Amino acid sequence: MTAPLLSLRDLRTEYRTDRGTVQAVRGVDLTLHRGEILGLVGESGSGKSVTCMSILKLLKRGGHITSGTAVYDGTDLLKLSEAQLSRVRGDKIGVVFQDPMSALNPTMTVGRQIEEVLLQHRKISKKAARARAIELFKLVRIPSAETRIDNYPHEFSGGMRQRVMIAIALACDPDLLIADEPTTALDVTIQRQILALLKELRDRLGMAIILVTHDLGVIAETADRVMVLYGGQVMEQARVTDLFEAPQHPYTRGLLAAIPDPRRSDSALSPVPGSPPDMRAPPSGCPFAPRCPNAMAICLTPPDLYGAGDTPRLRPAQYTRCWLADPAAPADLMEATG
Amino acid sequence: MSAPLLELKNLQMHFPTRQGPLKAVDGISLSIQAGETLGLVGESGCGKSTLARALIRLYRPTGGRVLLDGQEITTLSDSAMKPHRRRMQMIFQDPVAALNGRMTVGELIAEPLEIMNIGTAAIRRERVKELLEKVGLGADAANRFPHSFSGGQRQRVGIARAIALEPELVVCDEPISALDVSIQAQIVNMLSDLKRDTGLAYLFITHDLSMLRHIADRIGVMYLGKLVEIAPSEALHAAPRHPYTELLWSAIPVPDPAARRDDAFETGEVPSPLDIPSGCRFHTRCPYASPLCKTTEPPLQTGADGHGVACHHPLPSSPSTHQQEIENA
Repeated sequence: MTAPLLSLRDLRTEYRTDRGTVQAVRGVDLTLHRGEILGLVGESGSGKSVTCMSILKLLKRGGHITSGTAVYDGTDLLKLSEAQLSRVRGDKIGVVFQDPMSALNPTMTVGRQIEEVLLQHRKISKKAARARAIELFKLVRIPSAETRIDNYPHEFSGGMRQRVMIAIALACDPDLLIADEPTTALDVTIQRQILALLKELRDRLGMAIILVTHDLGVIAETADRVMVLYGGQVMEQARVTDLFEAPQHPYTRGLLAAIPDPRRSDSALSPVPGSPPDMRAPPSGCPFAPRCPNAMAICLTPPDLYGAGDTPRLRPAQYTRCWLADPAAPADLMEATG
Repeated sequence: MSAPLLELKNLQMHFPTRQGPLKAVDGISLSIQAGETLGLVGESGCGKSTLARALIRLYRPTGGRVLLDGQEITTLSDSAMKPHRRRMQMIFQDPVAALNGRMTVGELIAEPLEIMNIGTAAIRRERVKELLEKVGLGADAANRFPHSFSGGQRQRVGIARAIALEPELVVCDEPISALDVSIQAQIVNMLSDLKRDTGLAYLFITHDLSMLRHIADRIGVMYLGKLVEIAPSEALHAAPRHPYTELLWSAIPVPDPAARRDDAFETGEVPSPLDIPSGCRFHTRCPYASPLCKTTEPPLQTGADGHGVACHHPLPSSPSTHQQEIENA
């Protein structure tokens, strides 16, 4: 097997706030291969966005990484200086955010914003940068690329702005695109267009994508592999079909039962009771235990991440952080809860 | 059938702008029966939130009529509207953003009762407790401030405040969009329980089409200020008749990788509401558009089954015959 493109080990990130320290990410491991679309799914405060933004140290005020490594193509990004990192951002790794309007400069044409990225990272002429910008607009299927390139961000619709953001992120042919809730602010018809575009770009350019979303429908449509985060930790990870066919963690099962299937009306909605934990004082054991229908006394002790090697019930490449998957757990217990 | 609880007749809500009138709502007729949930969907800018605000008279409509229990309220002054206000309440996407952060939850919920001069302070306190229990927060919540609550709990506060005056109609404008997935179902189920227990009616606005199917009895689909289709929820899902409804439905992400679609989905975007296309407003994006669609706006026609559609070439129950029908026409 070839070396992974990106490998996070024991990533821990906290935020210092006036009201205490938020333990946003608490020991996340992540492996991403070239050309792979990895979905990170979780609710607000689960740590999915902070995990992504830690990779490029794009943390908001008060945020800092307390431990871990993020090896990208052989280099630990977390050890780089700010100057070295800024050469990686936008060059080797592109980023797309939820709200393109706040990420674009409203006083500059979109064409110039793409050219700026190119001129910063590449030794090319202004003319060549402009030609490349038009080429990128065509790549993300913005109609009339030659004229639209001279428009300002406010002259684009929400969906087209997100295409502009993707064009900027792709300017330097990155091997990795981080897309943080790229379609959350968009209508469903536009969302489907953007998701189709991301898949097409992956196929054509061979780049890997980390797709952060709270929407399991988006995951099912787009991702190859999924990590489910809760309370700053990975609760479960699996290939996408396995996660939906054979979810192992009670949290994953709860999430799947709480969303409607648009193809059926008879499926009753089963909410997950309770609220997400306060990450200033996360539960001492499994973070989901206070809301878990299967919680046991042992859940006050943090469970390990178990794989198929520990529990035959798990599928290849499937992992779950749950005591129910411990080899010592009685087999009938899991059957009763499954 | 008795008179509907609320009826709109050719309702218009136009806003003047420098580029000409923005026709946010451009002639919509519909009714909501007592105890019914009417869902309203459409892409952003279709006018669904404007319609909601005009029908509960947060706006004064620029044309058409609004009837509450058969009585016209379209142009009533604020003071003449006051006795009607308690019958129609609203729930917002983020209820607490619109509320005074210095007031306790108990004060916030008691406020509508005070404004309407209902009960003594002691009676109102009892009522607040009752309401807090009803929305699953518990009476202890009365002394806390909304900022100490999670998003789902805040929406419960918003709901308690909205139902304090025992309204007959509650307009819910994207009430779950800002909530976590695991919390959304809690709120949707609670709204269903409230309706079952008190017989209130909802106008439920959302862009989450799959959730709407769970809560709505009927669904209306809006496009650029017009109602293009309205039908019982099941009929609309099983056999949408307007090509726009079909487009919306096909865009919903399905939480099942086995149903994944990898085709390109190039269906264009909504035109500007300042520059509405001629004829059928949807013709610029419609795969079935004919020359007629470019010139003549189709009226909403409702069949005996209560399924209304505004389209020259509505989809039949069997899609394969549809293209043939258009070619024959």
